[in-house]
Amino acid sequence: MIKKICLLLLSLIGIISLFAPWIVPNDPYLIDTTKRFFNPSWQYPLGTDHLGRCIFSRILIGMRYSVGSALIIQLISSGFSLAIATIVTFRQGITKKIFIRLWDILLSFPIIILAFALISVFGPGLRSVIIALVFAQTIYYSRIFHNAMISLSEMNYIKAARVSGTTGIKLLKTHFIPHILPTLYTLLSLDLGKVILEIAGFSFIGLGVQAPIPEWGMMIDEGKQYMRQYPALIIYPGISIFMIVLLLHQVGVKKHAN
Amino acid sequence: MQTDILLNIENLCINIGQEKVLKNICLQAKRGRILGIIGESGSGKSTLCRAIMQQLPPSFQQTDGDILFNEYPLTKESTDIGTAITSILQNPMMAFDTIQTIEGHFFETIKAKYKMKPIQMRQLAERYLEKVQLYDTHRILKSYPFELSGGMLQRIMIALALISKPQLIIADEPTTALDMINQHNIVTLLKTLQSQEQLTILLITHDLGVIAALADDVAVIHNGEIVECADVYTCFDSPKHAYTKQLLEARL
Amino acid sequence: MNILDVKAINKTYTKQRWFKKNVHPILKNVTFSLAPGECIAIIGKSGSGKSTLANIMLGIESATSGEMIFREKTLTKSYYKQIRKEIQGVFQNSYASLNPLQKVEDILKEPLRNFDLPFNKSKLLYLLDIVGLEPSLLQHYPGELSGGQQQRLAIARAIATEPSILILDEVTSNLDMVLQKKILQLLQHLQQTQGLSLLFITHDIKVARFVASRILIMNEGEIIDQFSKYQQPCHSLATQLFRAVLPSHPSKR
Repeated sequence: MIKKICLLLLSLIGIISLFAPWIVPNDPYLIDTTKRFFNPSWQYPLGTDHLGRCIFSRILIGMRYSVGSALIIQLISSGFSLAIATIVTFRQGITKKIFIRLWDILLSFPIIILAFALISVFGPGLRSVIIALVFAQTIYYSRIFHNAMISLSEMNYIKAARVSGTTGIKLLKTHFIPHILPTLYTLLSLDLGKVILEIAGFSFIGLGVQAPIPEWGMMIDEGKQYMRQYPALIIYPGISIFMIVLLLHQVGVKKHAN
Repeated sequence: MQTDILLNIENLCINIGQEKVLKNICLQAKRGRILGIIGESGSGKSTLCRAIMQQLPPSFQQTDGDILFNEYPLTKESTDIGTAITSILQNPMMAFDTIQTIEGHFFETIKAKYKMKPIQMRQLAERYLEKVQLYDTHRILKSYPFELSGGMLQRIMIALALISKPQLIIADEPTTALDMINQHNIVTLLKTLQSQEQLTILLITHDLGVIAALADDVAVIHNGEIVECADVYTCFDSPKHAYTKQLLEARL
Repeated sequence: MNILDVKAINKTYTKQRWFKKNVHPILKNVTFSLAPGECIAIIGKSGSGKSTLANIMLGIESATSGEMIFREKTLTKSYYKQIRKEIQGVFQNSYASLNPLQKVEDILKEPLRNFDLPFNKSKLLYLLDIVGLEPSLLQHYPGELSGGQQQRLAIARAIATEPSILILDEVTSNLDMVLQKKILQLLQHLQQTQGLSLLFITHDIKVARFVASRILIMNEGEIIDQFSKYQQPCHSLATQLFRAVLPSHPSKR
């Protein structure tokens, strides 16, 4: 029941973010210093920020950046990880050994440090954040999928399928992938929330999205100096992040329990 | 009070929810004899075994009947379980605590019944290991379960079952997880011990060969009911129930 | 002409740790033949290498040395690809050898599709009929079938491609007596009607004596004894195994 409500809400959010540019009440980038720190009103449903921009519009547009980027990151890293896991599982010898050592080394760093390293190469900005997080998530997932595939390949029905003449891609498609998909779904949905937080975190410390893009972490970063007088600037983006991560966890966890 | 019938099960009925797992089971294990219970998987024989040992999971409800040991009803609180009634389980590789040495296992079992110093306990353990034809007692006592083979572990389980000088031993598929040679050895061992120590054994199995080798009396269980109950020769030579005949025909 | 000749198959497992090489021999010089329509049994306890031998014969593993000759032609990788449908197998744990996410229908279609054989409904129903399964089971999943039905399904899948050799790896070890006999009788029936050659791998002497005309004993990767059903074994280990058979009647204790 709860899962259905959460899924519904998430789809609603998805639709809204798709159509955000057309349904925002005001221009999220329009700076008007005469309208600073307005209280919520019909014109500005959540008020305005320190530069007179409509907070609500910024939150809506920000949704695209926060959630959208996270989704892109998850999808790309899942694709890469599956590919890498497949190659490593089925190639004996040196490739396998190299990858296993590589995983051990890279995974011993906290992902943030890894991402830092990458951003220092590519420079700050949303694109760098996406590349860095894709890299970090791919390493993490490909090992999980690799382990899953190894244990699957020990199963008798894989043996039986090979005896029946199924090989290569067909074997993967019919016998491996359907058993890995549940793991994939769980990881995707559970980690989506984590990735959103990471993107926000990067923007908060100034390494991610640059102004004036209304990414939620960015908004919190900009609003932190006015925390005492006008906490609204950080409360609304904060709550938005919180809500989405919560919804995603509910969906992810329930799916896993199934 | 010495009676001829050591274990008397009267009209035992066990359900899971609405489903009947055991229906009106009536069995008698006579002193000094081996009662073999044969049935296929799903027939309820494991449930019966656990019911006697008072180890049924909470979802199983005993709706009727009694299990009487020496004419007293057995309950979860009975002190007889583990001392006067001991068990030998199916898969010896899984039945031991992997982080405890064999010596530790013996001490634990001995302490439950006797009060002895470690040296005395060790001597007792060695004596029983020799009874089950394991002579490398020092090494075995110091070993962990995973270091020993299935056949050896099963013998050790038998030794542990004997050490508290039980009146009744319940053997739940003692040979199923073993290969042919070990099976034969365990069956021979049980036969020797039974005649030496005048044991009463309740033997549960799905293999007619084990029954033919060991049992004095046979009860055939099918779909939660006892369909045939006789001494072993009558059962093999003049079976009455269709299922018994089916089992006998299934011999290779 | 033998349908299969196994000659001097060796399989070793090499573990390399830095500069030290650990060589574990699993199969040593295994040699035997299978005539068309014959049923032989290979008996050995677990760890004797019999499952590895089965895997090599089914083409899942490759031998370190030695060769197999099928219908008088040496089995190379390419030749194997051609004749794979002629050598099929059934494994021990029937539930584990069926993909739980595949319907019965798809399980049976798979080998037929792979070898470009017709997989219409009548063929599937025919297969189910041979092994004694009801047609209604086509739409079910393996998890919904009983142990006996699962084993029959595995057998149906194995004979779908009309193989000449069927390799059975401990197929009745987990089954109850009544079911075991039924499956063995089914396999015997198939052998006679379809002209199959059966290779039975088991640890149970009674099963071997029931189905096979020739018995091979394996121990620690080697074949230590070979004799026909009516003969007695020579090797001491084999004799030990034969003495370990439980009696069939209490008078024979």
